Amino acid sequence: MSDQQSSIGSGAKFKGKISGAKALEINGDVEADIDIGKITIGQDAHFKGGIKADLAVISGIYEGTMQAESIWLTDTSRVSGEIRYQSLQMDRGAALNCRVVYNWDDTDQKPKKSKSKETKESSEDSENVSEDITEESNENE
Amino acid sequence: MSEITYISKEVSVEGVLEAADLKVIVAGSFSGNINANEVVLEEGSRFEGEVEARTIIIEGELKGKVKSYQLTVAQTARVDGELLTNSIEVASGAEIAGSIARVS
Repeated sequence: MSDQQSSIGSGAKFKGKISGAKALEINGDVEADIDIGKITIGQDAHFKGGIKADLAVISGIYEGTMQAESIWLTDTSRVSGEIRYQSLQMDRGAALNCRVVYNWDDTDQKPKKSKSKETKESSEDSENVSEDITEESNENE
Repeated sequence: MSEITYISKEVSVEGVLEAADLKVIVAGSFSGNINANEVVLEEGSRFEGEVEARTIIIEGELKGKVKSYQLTVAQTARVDGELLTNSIEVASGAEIAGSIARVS
């Protein structure tokens, strides 16, 4: 029993926060923000809120912003809001009414060249300044 | 099985859970309100708030208000609060602080 994964039963209503779970199965009506390894939203489930997960399997109704490494939308899923993913699987019949974004992690996607250039330029500037100072000090002598 | 709500050991939950005809098992920590048919607060669990159900079994730590038709307080339980019940069973070794009264 202690190894059983957390679940919100079909017919149950929950509103609040859930944290610390590695895996969660939702079959009820849930309004929450969840940061988790694996989340399963069952066929009868209605989930509203934000999800951050490694893997999200959606068979029910989802409303909100979801960010997951892997998303599987089964044929009974209905999604509104926004989904951000690295890998997406959609079954025939899945209903999407949402923004779909691939590879949300734009910190990795930004070209790093511009940044390194800036730092180079600034370091050159500082060298120039130091040269100026030494020249000035020479004049003073 | 899909009708059971289960909060496993490492999980902490904050909020309101309405599961009128259903069973709820808490092994982790729960802060808030639970309304269900049957509630089991397992050994090692922590509950803070109000819990109302037809049958309640307390094996863990509870702080708050309990309302049930049938209440069982196990040996491992530590209860601090207000217990409202028609029928209560307390195991030897259980710690109870607070009040016990009949459901009106």
